[in-house]
Amino acid sequence: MIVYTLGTIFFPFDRAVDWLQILLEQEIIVEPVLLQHGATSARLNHPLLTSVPSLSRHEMYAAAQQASLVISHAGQGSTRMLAEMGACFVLLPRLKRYGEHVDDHQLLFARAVEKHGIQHCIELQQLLEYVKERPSPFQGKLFNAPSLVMHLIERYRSLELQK
Amino acid sequence: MKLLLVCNPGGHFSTMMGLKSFWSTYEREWVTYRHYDTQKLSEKERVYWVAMQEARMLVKASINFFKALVILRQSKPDLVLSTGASIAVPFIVASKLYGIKTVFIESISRSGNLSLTGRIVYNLVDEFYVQWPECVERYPKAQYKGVVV
Repeated sequence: MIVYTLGTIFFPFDRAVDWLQILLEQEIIVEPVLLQHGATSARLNHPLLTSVPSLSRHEMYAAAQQASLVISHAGQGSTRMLAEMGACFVLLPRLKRYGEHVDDHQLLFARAVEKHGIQHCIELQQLLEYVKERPSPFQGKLFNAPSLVMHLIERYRSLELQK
Repeated sequence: MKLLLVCNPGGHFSTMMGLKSFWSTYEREWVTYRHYDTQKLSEKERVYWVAMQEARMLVKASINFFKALVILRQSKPDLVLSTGASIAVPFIVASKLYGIKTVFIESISRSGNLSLTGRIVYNLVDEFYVQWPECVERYPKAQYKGVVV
């Protein structure tokens, strides 16, 4: 199974659905696809395709665990979850020029995580290659950094004590 | 200390959930709008639902500014904490008018420059956190103290 997730932000991501249509029609994808389309119109009809507007975090986790490949918009929440679970995944950044997001931060984010070994596609041809030749499951830790929540806990505990 | 947690749905909401070990030890209320992920929040938390406001929606932002004035008077938080996005703007501006302390956490998806919301609230908030060390070079007031996982 392939999980194809576009997030839930209100901007449409029609390019991603168009690409999925091509991949299905040209039989490059020949396994079941779960499409989470959010605010984008899921106008596609294909025997291999199941479309849902949204998935809970738990449902998304379970689906991604079973998937042989996850194709995801480059939202930080999805990216971090997929990296954390060691999924085999590739990112499709939403781009401003097609009205897919407010600006190009998804592209900048995808480029920033590229050095950790996370792949992304700007063109259909790249996605086609990743469908044919799957990226290896993500290994390691995406953000090996201190914890901001620990900082907040300690900072506000000490501020409270000063009162 | 009483907190008011302000965030848009999606990644901003999941970042706020990632801060649970901080906010769960304090009295708190939430501000967000109803969406796939946030709609169940009111089962366990006290929530003020506001108008759906996404990037560049100036009319919605104005409506939410007046809502913010009312909500802040009613909630009386000691600290307003926001993980973005655009909903932060009316609430941080209104908090400023009332003299309420504010903390803003920029999204981890902002690896190089700040979001529009980040740039608007940068000079207003008491503490501004970024999640990439590179951002501190360009925005000296911002602090890098790690990431929300």
